[in-house]
Amino acid sequence: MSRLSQAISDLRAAKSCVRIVGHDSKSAWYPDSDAQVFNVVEQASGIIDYQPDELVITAFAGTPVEEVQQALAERNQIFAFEPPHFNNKGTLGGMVSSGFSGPARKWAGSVRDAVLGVELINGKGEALRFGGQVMKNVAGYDVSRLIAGSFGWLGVIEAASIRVHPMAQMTTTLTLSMDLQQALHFCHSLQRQYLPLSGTWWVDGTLHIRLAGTESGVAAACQKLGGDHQPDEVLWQEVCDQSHSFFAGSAGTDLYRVIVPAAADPFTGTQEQAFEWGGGLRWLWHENSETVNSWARAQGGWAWRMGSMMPVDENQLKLMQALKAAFDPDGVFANLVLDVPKHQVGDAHAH
Amino acid sequence: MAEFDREEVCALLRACLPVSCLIEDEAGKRPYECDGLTAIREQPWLVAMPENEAQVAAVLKVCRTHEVPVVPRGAGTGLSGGARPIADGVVLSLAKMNRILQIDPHNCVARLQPGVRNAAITEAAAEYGLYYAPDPSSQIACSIGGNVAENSGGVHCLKYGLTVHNVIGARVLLSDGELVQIGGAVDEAPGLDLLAILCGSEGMLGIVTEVTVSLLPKPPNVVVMLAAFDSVEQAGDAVAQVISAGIIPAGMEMMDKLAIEAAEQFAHAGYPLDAAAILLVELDGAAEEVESVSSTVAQLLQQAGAVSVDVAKDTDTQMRMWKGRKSAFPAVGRLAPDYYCMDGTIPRRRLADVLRRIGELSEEYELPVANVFHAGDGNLHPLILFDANIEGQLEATEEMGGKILELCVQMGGTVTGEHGVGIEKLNQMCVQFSKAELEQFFRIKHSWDPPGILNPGKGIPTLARCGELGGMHVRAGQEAFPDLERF
Repeated sequence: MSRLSQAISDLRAAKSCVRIVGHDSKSAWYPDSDAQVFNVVEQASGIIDYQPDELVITAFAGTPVEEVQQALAERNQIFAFEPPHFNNKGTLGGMVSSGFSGPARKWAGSVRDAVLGVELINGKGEALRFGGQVMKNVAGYDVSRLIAGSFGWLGVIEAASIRVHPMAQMTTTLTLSMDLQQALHFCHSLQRQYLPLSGTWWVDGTLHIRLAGTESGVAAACQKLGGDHQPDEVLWQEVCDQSHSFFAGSAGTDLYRVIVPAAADPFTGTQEQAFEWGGGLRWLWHENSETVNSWARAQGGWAWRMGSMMPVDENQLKLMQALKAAFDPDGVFANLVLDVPKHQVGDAHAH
Repeated sequence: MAEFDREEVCALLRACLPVSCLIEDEAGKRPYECDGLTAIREQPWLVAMPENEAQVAAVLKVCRTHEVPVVPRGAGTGLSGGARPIADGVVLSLAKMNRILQIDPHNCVARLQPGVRNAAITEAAAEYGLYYAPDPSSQIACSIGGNVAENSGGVHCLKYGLTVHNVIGARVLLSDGELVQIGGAVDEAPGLDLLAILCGSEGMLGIVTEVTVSLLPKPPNVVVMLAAFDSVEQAGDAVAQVISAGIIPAGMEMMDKLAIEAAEQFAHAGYPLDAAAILLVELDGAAEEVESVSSTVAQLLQQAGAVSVDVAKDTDTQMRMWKGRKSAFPAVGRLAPDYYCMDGTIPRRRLADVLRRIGELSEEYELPVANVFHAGDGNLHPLILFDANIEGQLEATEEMGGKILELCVQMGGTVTGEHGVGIEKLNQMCVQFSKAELEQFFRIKHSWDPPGILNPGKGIPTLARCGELGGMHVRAGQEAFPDLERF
């Protein structure tokens, strides 16, 4: 039995409930938790295997994302989903379990899309491997991707294998002055054209479009779209890491991460807004959560207020709780992000 | 499963379906005896073909109440026996629910009933310049519901992903009668990623009654290249060179000598018959981009030892080049009365070792093998030629196939890249997964389908079955078969 699975078995025997933490860089996104902290960094760190020709890297969960990205950069490769680094921190385990992806997500896929395999310790302290290092694998249920975005609720990730992509030959950013409505319309028209898009960011009356690909592909797209273009890596890093001045916000309001169909009409309740993913991700500062939630629901989407639980439909929540019980019957791993209705709080410990 | 009163249950099913939607007679049920894995057959008790979600729910309710096994079925093109019926069970065919509910060009999504054919999605989206990317080779017949169940791939999935990467929403009926809407026309859903676990679940978790997929803009230009090599090692090396250069082709397919010969005889694709291996490389993008990338790729292929590189820019030649590859299975099928298609995935750098060992097994069992390989993503389809009428050959073929899959696991790969486990690869699952992992799978199954009526006996082997096989579980890099020569 590995050290990590022994540790989880001991926690289970002691009836403990823990919050799994790497650098603890993403905790601003969920409410404070009473659960005891269980840190994986000292348990498992370092790159295990990197096969650039096979487009896959495997590392222990406690490995800093930055360290992994540096190793990739030396071979001209990247994590195409652009994992954010909040406060310049973040581990590979946190990257997978939070499921946060950056501006390229709409075009290059998400963290979950890139997860090929995980080594996981479930709530029974069992060391399990799902998926692997190969691109195509349909043996058994796709547990690796289920773990992405699960916020440590189902188990501790010991190591993960992630698909990598070649670094684009060329990246450039176009800027166009337009209001929110115009910018959304423009993005929808782009989405139906074959273009090397890898980011859209609208804020303060300016739409920024990032193109990334081969030199000839990017040059052709620039010619087609017109406008001013220049490399602007700082901007995209700030958007990705939520360190752009937009994220400083204003007093008396909260930040909302709102996922809606890209073509949804603009939210008219605030001027303090921005969007990414061609309109599929709207950032709003607002004072009233019910207003934002009901707007998001009406569009067929959902809103997550920073520092709060995620809203989930009741029948989906039932399935999620059943899955939770399948992985962690005794509730060793704390629920950090799912909004479980009050009347279920009694069950919530176990599920 | 408990015993149930056939007359009573049949009467209940007749009450919830129109007459034309319940097949009870012998002749009518015959087409449902197997899926694409034709060697394994079973006559189902009944075939239910509901026309809408309410009828699906009604059938499920009857089956749940009386503990009748339900085998969901799409177009029946699956290759692993996932839709193989159960003698005391109901086949639930979703083929009649085949309407395209919406093509939404603003959000670039399509909403579909499960029986919509894969190719029909792209046909319907074409007027907006959009298409649905995953293209399993059965795409003219296979359905999107079946694609979700199998997490189907295709020749373009290295660049454009599998079904799981292109499906963003699903309505699912659970065996307990709950209807769950998962995801929708949005990029991400809150909470656990239920779609991830649904895709590839082989009809064991729920019945999909509606699917939402992403549509992509059609690439304006395509180039297809055909490179011939004197050895499979060189062809494999060429693939690595292309990827190392930072190029992700839309498709990259390899065929070995026997597959080339069969395909050429069948399709007259212009393949070089003196080559030991060929590579087909498809590149797509803007005109200038395709132009410059294809000249780089041609150079890389030549550097890797290609004897010839033909570049097709016109659609007719491209279609001819692809025709050989796409008809490889039926073409190989003409070389022998029967063939058995395997579906392992391996780390690409192990290709030469794996093909060498397959060659040895082929000699040992005296059964020829043609190899077709999705080279970009390491998904290998060895096709074993045999004659089922010769006593013992089917069994020998299955045994040899099993050894090939175990070899894939030993090399760090998997027993199934895209065809699914179904009924076919249950034994090899014992090799790939430990007891604790299999138990975890069963708990997942139970969490969605507590009565256990959905496609029982498929996908995940029981521990008893694995026990009978005698503790075969191996890990990559460990010496699993001490009685075999090292290779």
